[in-house]
Amino acid sequence: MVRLRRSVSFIFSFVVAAIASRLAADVFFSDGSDPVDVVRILLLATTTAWIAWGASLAVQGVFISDKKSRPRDRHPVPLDAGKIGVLVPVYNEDPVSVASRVMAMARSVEATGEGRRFDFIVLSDTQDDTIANVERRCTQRLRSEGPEAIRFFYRRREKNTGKKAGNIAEFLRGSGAAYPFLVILDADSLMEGETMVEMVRRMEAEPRLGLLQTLPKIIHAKSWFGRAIQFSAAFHSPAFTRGLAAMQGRTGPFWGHNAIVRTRAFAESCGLPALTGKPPLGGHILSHDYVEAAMLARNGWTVRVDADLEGSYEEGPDNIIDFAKRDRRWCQGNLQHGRLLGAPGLKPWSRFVFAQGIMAYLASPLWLVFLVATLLAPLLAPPLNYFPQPRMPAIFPRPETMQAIALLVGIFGLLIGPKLLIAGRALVTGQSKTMPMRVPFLRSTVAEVLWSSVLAPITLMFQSRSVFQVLLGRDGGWPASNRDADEIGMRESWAASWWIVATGVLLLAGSVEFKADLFYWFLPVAVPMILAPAIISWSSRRHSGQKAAQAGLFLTPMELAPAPVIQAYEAHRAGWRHEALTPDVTGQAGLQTGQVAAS
Amino acid sequence: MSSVPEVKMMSERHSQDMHPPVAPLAMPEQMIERPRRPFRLAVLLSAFLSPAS
Repeated sequence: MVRLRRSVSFIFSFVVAAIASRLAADVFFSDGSDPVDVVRILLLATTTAWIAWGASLAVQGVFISDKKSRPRDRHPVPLDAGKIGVLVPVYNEDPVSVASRVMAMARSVEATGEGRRFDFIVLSDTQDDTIANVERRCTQRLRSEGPEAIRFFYRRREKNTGKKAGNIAEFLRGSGAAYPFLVILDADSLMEGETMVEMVRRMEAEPRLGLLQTLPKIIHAKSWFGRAIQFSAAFHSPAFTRGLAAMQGRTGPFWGHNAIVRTRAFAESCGLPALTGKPPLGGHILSHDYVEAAMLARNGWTVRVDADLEGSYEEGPDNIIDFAKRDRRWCQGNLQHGRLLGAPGLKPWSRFVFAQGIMAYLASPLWLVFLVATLLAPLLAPPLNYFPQPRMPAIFPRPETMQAIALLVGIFGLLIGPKLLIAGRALVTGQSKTMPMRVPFLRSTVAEVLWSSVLAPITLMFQSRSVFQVLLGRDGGWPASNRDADEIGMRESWAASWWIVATGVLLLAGSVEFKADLFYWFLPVAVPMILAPAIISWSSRRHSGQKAAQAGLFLTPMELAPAPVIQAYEAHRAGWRHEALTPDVTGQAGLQTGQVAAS
Repeated sequence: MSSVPEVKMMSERHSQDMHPPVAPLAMPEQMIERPRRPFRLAVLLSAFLSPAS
């Protein structure tokens, strides 16, 4: 079945690319053919095949039930012997927020009756001593006030060699034998205790299961930008994940957090050496999670994502700049995978996943080159020949506008169609029952589609720049996330995006100069580019998010009825943040959430 | 009345040492890159141009 699904998706992508090429040839060759036209057709075929591949994942996901595959045991049995370590790697994050999450998860685990099986371990790579002191005091507080049955530990590395992968590897080498299973989280992860217990049950039930990944939902978004992603993660991501899971078989994904691993399998398979050479393409592997999944599969372990596991959450960037910063790291990490395409012993699907991750970033510069080639094509076109056959009437070139429109509609259909299908499924299957408002849900879907169309040219530019930087040898480093200080002013926004504005202006001016017909075709791309500073700034503001919420836009079930673990986290954090003003709690008067994250 | 493990746990909870338990586990480094082989054309040329040939 897995092979059939893969074959269908490959064939679908190939057929779509062939149709797009045919239509493009009709349009581009209408005024004569030249090498630039051939390049444009090749670029369009590649990018269209990539979009079609994504669409095929989502469409498959729409028709797969999320309850069908692995329903939860109705009569859960107690867990077997052995401890489970819950790892919380941190790097200069806000300690009060991290400790509040740990406390909420610990209490949630205790409520399942399996608390004695769990240890929570904060693995700090924090380089700032002030923050590290607060981390220690927060852990002491967890030990004194947390559930009696659960143990809490704290370990700090002075040097963060190997970043997060190195942090976890050092823990495994020092303490791994104490834990048959490890739940790996991020600093901003949150999971229900019942979900963690269920994950352990599934691991215990399948001895060859090396890693089980959940699909975390995004929570706590405040701005328009963050809320749009939150909505998309709540409704679109599960369908894409179900499609992905159905196609990956035993060679599933690891997204670095909100997952459980079999410690022995992980230790024997995932010792990551640094790549030869210097960054950006050499050195420590930034996107280590994809590689770890491939290495587990190489050693015969099953890696699986179970989209039916609820109760798994994370926070996301609340503005385009933070999103682009994170994307820069992921871009460098995925392009590093080019070095591993020929790694010995990997499963073919793992190699394909690497190629897919690389293509996720290469697609943007390919689109950009396509736009530039389209702009320059009239300059390089051969002179028009109205009399290709002697003594015959003149032949005038036809603009082939209908084919061009068909091409554009087809590409937009591939991008938008899956989202509309997902919305239809949510309405038909009653997924939207948890949200008693069909009209706002549909309105949100339309708003998300329009918003992603506005956002696409801006992210295209940021991603293209990331790819060019990596290919030119610039290392992006590893900046700390800055998820609480998220509002972007116009000055900062302009500084980050003036070059996008310049590109938009050049595209429009070029179209007027070289081929006036192109002006209207370029408008949907160039206008968001020219407005980028305003879009970035406005969409980062809490006010924009509040307006959206008041209008019923981008509401998610988790907002309307937050899970108990989310409520517990918010209560702990509110209390601790208030107390953090007094030195006897954290030892750092005035240390508040945003200040730590921004430091 | 507390059992022995519970007493041990209580003392752990109030200990200043917050380090996780010591339980080493081997995590050998894996081979993920093929060893680099010299470019074949260069090998051929060097063989062809070497004085011994």
